[in-house]
Amino acid sequence: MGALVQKDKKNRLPVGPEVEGTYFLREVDERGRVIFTPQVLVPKDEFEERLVMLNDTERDRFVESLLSAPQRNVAYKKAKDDFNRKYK
Amino acid sequence: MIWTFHKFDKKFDRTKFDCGELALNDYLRKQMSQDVDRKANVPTLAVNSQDEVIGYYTLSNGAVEFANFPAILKKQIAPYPVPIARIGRLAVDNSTKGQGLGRELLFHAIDKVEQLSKEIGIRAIVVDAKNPSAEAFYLKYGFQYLHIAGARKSLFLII
Repeated sequence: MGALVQKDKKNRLPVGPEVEGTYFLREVDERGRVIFTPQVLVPKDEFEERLVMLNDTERDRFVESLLSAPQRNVAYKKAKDDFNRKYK
Repeated sequence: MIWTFHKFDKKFDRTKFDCGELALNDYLRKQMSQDVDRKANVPTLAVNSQDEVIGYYTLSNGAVEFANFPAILKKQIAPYPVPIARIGRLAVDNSTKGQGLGRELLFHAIDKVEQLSKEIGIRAIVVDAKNPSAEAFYLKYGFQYLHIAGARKSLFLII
């Protein structure tokens, strides 16, 4: 048995609470009916979270670095030099 | 292989891209264009001589906040969320692995953030390591652990 899906007034399907954004493909079939199809179900973007909340241990480590001059290791310096030589 | 870096443009072929991570492949093919339209992030594409995308990264802004902000810290840093730039995703096509493209994408991003940090407040770059090899990649260049939530690890580099 298929699931009952409630469309809105514009004949659009809800994409559910686990996704964000509503993107629909608007098509007209051979009988002239307008069909809105969810084109992409966009997952909530766990990799672009705007806010990172730190616990006390993480905070102390971060603040220590924040208050120091930026540290650059050998691999960083070499890669940076190579990049600058190639592109700048 | 020769590549060049470009802003997102639909003229570049994204259909053949395969980095071995389905989520990152799908993101490039299906979602990146929408995120560009929504200004959710700014992608940079690495493109080969056939105008095929062979690597990319996305950049957005964000902030680091502390669950507890002891009064003594207020003498050292402002009691506001710390502004950061976030590399949300960085991926390289399997055909170019081992050729230094991942490293160049990372330093392209770092270079861009360093330039931006002269104009707006950015204190660090934050990345999310999707797997142990990505984690080792960032650690190699001096990134430090920022936040660990389950299998997901965020790392940072002070700018």
